[in-house]
Amino acid sequence: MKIKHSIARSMRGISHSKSGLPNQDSLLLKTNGCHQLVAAVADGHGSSNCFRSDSGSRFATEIFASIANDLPVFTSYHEAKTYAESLPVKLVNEWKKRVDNDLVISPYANHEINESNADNPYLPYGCTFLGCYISSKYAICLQIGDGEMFALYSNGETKYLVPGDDRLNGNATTSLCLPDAEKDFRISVIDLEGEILPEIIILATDGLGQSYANDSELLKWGVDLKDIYNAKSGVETLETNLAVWLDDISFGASADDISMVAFWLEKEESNLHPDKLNTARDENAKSTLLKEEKKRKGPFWFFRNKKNKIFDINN
Amino acid sequence: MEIKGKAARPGGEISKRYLDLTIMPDKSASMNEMGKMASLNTAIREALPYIKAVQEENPGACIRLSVMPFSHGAEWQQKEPVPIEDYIWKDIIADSVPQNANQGNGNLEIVFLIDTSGSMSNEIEAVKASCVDFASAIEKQGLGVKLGLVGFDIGGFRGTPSNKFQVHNLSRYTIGCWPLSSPKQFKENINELSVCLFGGAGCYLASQDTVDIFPHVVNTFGKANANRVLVIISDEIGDDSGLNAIIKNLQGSAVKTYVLGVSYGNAHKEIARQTGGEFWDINESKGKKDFTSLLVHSVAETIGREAKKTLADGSVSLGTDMGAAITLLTKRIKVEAMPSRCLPPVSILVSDGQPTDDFYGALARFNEEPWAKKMVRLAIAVGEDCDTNVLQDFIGNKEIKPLIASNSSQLIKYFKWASTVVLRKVSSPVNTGGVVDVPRYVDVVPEPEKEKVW
Repeated sequence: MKIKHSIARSMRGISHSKSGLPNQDSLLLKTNGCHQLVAAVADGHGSSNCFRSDSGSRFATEIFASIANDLPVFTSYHEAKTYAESLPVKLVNEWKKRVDNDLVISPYANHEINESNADNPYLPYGCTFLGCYISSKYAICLQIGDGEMFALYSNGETKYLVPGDDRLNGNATTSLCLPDAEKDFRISVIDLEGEILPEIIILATDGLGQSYANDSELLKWGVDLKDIYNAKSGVETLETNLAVWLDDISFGASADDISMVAFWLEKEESNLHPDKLNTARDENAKSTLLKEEKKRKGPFWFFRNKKNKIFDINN
Repeated sequence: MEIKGKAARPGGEISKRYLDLTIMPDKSASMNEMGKMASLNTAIREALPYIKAVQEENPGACIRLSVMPFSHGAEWQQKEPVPIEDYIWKDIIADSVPQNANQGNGNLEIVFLIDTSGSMSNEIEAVKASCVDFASAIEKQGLGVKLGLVGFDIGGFRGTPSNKFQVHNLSRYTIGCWPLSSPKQFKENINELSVCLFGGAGCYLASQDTVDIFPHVVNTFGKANANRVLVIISDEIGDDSGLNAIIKNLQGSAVKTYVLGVSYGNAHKEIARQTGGEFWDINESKGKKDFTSLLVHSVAETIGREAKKTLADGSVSLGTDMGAAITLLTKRIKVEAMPSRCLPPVSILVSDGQPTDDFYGALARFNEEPWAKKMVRLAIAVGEDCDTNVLQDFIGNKEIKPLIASNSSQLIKYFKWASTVVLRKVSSPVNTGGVVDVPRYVDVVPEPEKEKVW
């Protein structure tokens, strides 16, 4: 499986513009060559009790990026699944450590302390999280709280990548800040060498999904992104317009922050994958492919949103 | 997809998130009294600008209002929910008070069906005393109520034949029927009742062999247009084999049934529930029950004011069809009828009385709907005579209590609160870590006693 293209944008919602709140979403897109990709979006809760949720969402994506640095190469579906199931505990523990550290540097002011955060000091940093890790063979998807993670498959179907959660009701959501958060993650592992494969994967914070009355309207994004990409100057159209589209949607519907990562995958001939070229006679081919891999290795795209400014941090 | 200039936006049609607010006001005739309906109209009318303000604060939400008054049946005022900015309030008109209500013309009929088996020996005197107290209270208030009496048991008649009552030997049971009479005569009749008068071997409602008792019970009632109330008193219970037939008979004859019975088993509770009555535990009361407050106040003073009416589907309505309102709401919130991504709906039930139809059956069906579980339900009692237990059961959350409005200004305050604090909380685009935290009306300053109007 090869990564053809990826794109990401995060826009502040009209309700936050009106109230003077920052964009509380964070977004991560890291492509290491064309065989590995790490993507995540996190949505800081906007309620008044969650007044540091922009930091909370940033911590979540930063931690996922750092965990992804040490991701092993999976040789079997079982191995990938076992690893995926261990991720929530790691993510939650590390996130809580980051919050604890932040509280040492910037403890709550007296006026910020209330009954809620006295009981649960993590609440002001509360956020949802959606993450996806793509290796050449497997995709690992994990999500806590609301937001949308779905894929257009090679058979034309568009469907969600993790199971739904009946507890998500209106604006109430599960969250990294709640006790036993690791148990609230929904996880899936997709075999990328199967018959029917995801062609485009989309991760978005709930500002996108809440802008559609029904799932079917939202899921049209899958086919539409495919059509745009395949059209003449498709990549340019995407790069130019994604921010405008997200802004339009927030303005016309949910009024919430919207962050989106989308990436395009394609099947590649298995005997051309660098990891599989081990014999001496393949050395030339391997060397060529590795050069290509290096050339295509993308930047570390990490968008950290602060007062609606976007920073790129390249590693 | 054609890509020209500013590219067409991917995805389907966007939509704001609907927040459906439903107000279900009781418009039964009793709401006409002491300006209750006028106050309710004022309260809702004054709340509308606040709802519109909440809408403006939350551009991502689309608040839609629906109003469904109920009395004899229930009906939506509008076919579809109306966006709040387009909503024009139309005053609700309560049913007119029947001219013959409380005029002493016997518009309300109450029949007591009393178990005279041996097991009642510890309770029968208390039961008789309660019935006498009840009849005295009716006499004193001059209410137009007629009272009938039926005793039942297994084993055969053991008393002296009398022309005051008729004995019927049924498939298994023996019953004695005293016809409807004035409260004064009823007091004499009840004193004729004694343990084992009709056998003494037991009373097992609602076994199959008790079904044939009920046509005689129904025949004891008189005028077809009278409001019919049956009070069953028994300390024994059978199986459910005859339950459906008994309920069908009572429902078909528009007999609202109260049961002072046993709490174990199903039959007694179901008879009360499915006919719009109430169940009381005889073991808690030892037969002594203050029917005066329970029936005179809650039945005679409320049901007696409502006109009985036959609805289009042939069913008979006693005037406060809260169950019909819940059934209509159930249809509106079915998964296939609601956009999957709307905000939790909010509903406000307003009543001054108690349901006269199968409210609990309707509520059970309503509670099975996924959107009912997500709905924020509020209830306002207009006056202290209202059955707040019913409203609490509608709310379905012990943390949220029904609000009791004792005067017009309280009613207005409650509506303002529901229209601002609650709607703002539900419609706000901010996420909360955890469950929907429904605000509670904790800042209500109790009104001074002198301002209690209702």
